[in-house]
Amino acid sequence: MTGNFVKPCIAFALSLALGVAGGQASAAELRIGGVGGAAQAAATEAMVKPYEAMSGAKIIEDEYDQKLAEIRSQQEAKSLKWDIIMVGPSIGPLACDEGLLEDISGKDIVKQSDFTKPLIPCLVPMFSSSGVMVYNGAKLGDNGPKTWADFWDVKKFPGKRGFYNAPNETIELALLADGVSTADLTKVLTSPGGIDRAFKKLDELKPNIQWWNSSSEALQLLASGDIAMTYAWNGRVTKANMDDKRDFRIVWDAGHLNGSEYYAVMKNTPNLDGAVGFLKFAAEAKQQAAFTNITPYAPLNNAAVPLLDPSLAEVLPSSHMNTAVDQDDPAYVSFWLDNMDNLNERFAAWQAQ
Amino acid sequence: MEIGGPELTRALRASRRRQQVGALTLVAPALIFLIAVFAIPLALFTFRSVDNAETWSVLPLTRSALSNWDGKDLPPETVYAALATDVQAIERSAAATLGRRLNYSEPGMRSLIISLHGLKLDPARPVAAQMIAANVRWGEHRIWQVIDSESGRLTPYYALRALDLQLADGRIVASSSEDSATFRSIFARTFWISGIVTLLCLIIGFPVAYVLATAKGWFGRILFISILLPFWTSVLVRSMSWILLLQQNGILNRFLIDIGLINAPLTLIYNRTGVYIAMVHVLLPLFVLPLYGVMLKVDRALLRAAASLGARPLAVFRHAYLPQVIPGVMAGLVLVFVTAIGFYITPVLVGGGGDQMISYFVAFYTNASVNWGLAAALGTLLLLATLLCLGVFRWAFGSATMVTGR
Amino acid sequence: MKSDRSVTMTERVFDLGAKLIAVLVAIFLVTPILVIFPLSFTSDSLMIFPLPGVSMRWYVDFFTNPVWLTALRNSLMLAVVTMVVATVLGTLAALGLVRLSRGWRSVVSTLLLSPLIVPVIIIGVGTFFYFARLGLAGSFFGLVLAHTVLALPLVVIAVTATLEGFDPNLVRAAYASGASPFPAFWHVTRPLIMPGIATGATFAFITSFDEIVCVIFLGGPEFRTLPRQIWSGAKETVTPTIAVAAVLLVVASVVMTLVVEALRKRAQRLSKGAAT
Repeated sequence: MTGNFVKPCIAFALSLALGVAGGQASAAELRIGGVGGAAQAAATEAMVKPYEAMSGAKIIEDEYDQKLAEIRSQQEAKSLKWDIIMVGPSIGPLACDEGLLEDISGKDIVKQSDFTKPLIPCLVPMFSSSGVMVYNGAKLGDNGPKTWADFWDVKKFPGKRGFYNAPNETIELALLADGVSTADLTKVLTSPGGIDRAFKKLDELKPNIQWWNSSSEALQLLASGDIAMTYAWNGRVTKANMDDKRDFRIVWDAGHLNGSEYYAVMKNTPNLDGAVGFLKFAAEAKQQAAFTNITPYAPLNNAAVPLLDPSLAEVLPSSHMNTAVDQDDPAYVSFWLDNMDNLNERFAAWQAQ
Repeated sequence: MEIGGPELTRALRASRRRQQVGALTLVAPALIFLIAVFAIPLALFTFRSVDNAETWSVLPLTRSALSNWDGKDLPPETVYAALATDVQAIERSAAATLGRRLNYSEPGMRSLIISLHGLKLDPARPVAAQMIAANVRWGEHRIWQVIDSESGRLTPYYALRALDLQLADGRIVASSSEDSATFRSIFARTFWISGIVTLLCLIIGFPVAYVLATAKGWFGRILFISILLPFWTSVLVRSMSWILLLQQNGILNRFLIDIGLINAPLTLIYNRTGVYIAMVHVLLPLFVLPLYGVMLKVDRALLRAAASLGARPLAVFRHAYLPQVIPGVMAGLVLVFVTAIGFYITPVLVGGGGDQMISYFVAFYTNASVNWGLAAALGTLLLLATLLCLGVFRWAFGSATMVTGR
Repeated sequence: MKSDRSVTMTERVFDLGAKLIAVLVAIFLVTPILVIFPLSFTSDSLMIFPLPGVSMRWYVDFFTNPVWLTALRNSLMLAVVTMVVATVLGTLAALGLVRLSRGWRSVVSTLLLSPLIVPVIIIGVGTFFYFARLGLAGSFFGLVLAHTVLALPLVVIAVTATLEGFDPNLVRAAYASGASPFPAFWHVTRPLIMPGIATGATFAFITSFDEIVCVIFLGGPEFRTLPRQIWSGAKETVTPTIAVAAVLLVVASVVMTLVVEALRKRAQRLSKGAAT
């Protein structure tokens, strides 16, 4: 009786193992490391699925925590998980500088004339995202926080605060709360003592901080009442309001961190041509607009703007640029080029104290 | 069997030898497998904590040029030229890795090396002057000292750093950099949390094991299953469930508010409390099960004898029962403690930043910082701590009782 | 113990106290496992109690979502292959182990069981560094190897336990009556230790099926397992679909707990039968 059980088991196992080996051999496969959450969901609908239907390529999507280390680790281990990767401001230029991404400037993927900001050799600009202050209107109504100083004020607004679990996009907020204006932020950040000032300000709020790793998690915490307010990326917030009937309010006027998100190709990918083919498609105005209509991050391709749903204008970062800190500013980018590593470790040490 | 001459003895010995060889043949595949996929990776992992391949393997010319340097003034032109040749011969990503490695010892090295990688040098002019013109720091004595001291095959850097130490002018001193985590306090925290969890397991687990060993019928069966089920349920799922139970708006807080015990929700998760609760939940079966096994074997006749001789229940417990179950208790405690110090998943899910244990930092330096040498050094220390605990236990109690699941 | 009434009284109080603690602990142990069942039937997209309504939408979501289905298939595949490899290696090793002389035996069993005492994070990171060198990081094969390391000691323990429970005289009797080793194993040893092998195989299966730490370091995107999906969910995008996945893992554990219990009873019966 047991023999009757074992034999099919072995046969099953063998067939599965062979199936895996066969699966890995297929060449048309394209692997993408996305940023997860609503942005990736929109990319799936607006770019990945149509491209699969059009080209017959098979795309496997993965997600990561948007940290440089993941890219470094794959290059260092010489085992690439992805061919294409979505990278954010400061991480993208840094990875490009370190030679972790392919230089695709000669591949004719995008034209400079379609974009306001200068193109970077390894990076295909996809959308503009803002890191914003959010609170739950269902709990605080119209009497929510107005400034980052309010965000720091746990007497006036009791409860925990949500932050992205990284030094980048955290120490900036500390400086804003400490009275630095959005216009001066990069100057203060890069000047001597700027980092210490930020950590000192963070010390004040530390017992009340809840770190999150994705903005979906942030919004989950906000909805459940575990945190009173949070830093989050604008598209996911608006998406939650649209899909789940939340009343999350974005405080644009407090100041927000606005930067470009990019697609890039991993250095030494075996599937460079396939990757370039997908990126050409994804960068087209039509797909760009479709992306924004699903999850309201602003497109960077100017040709996509006329194709947008006009009702989205108010919720897009592009309508609030007067209170934005520009994360694509070369001075800001070069600050993170020089300081990402030591700040990462200092931040981890500070968190663990 | 006793009768028989030397032939029979020889035949017996030969047959026993044959049996041993046969037995070893059966064990061999598993042993070879474990050596190849477990022992060797572990040895290499440990070696990585002193390995300096990132600099050693990419700076061959620099190394030999530096061997002629007296270390007093700036190095000669040949050293500059050798470094430029070495750095420009490797890929940009390898140069970035080299820069990052040297940056641990001297901030600013990363951008120096990366910019040297892309620097256009005029072969007709001296390299030193061109490098210093591109970045004045190439004219600093300190930079060359760092390159010189970090170009060996092995480095003490990671092991020292994992203990909050560093090398300064050839002497071991306390680490000064504010970027370095305070690993000693993290080790202390790891042991502290594990100790508390072990203690809680003892207090809660002992009566449970006792009841389990004495209970009969459906009560015993249900109790047994309710301990076995969590034992075999994924740690991940269990830790995740605690989030749902303990969060601000979670089931427990709502329940306590509904019955009027509290007015405002308690903060039970993303802090130490949550870590203790979830870790005890995960580890309790690991304490109860071996102890239960030992308690089953307790000689009841001895207890009855003691009682019939007029010993009070407490005395029976202390002098007749406890001595029989102490080995089981100790085995359970060591098992729980040793497993606890290696915890990773649970503190990440239910703890806050100040509740992360040493495994978190092994993972952090592997994945989030790509400082693999430091990850290896921290992991090696964790491994040593584990082996030390087990070694002490074996020395005190013998090796028989350590056979239970993870 | 029935000789003294006062002893009985005190004992009873102690007994009752201990039983009460045991019941509370049982509730403490089981609640977190059961709580995800109702949550998986919520109608809302965020996991908050009380349930805003009851629906099957997340089950539908799970079983129609290719990402989750692939993860489920991957987990099953990985667990089955790990189970087969670990059971074969582990059973052979256990058969050899019980025949070794005492000195060899303690050395070999320490080696065989050592993966149990090394913190999983070290096995995960260690094999990651090693496999990265060999080009195995992120491959199915690499994960099978790592999981087999974790599962092998459990198989050895389970099979050794039954082997020690049954009478080696039976095997010797078979040899004496002229049977060659393999038929002797097949007809005498195998049926007797089958419960041990099956228990070991079940341990191996569930170890791999639930495993997350090695998967975090070794798993590539084309090979996401169920726990890996849950992990990124529990840390990142939390949806009730995760509760559905967790329910599946728990169901697997329930089934396995019951199977092992049944096997244990059977092994007891067999070893009793063999002894008499």
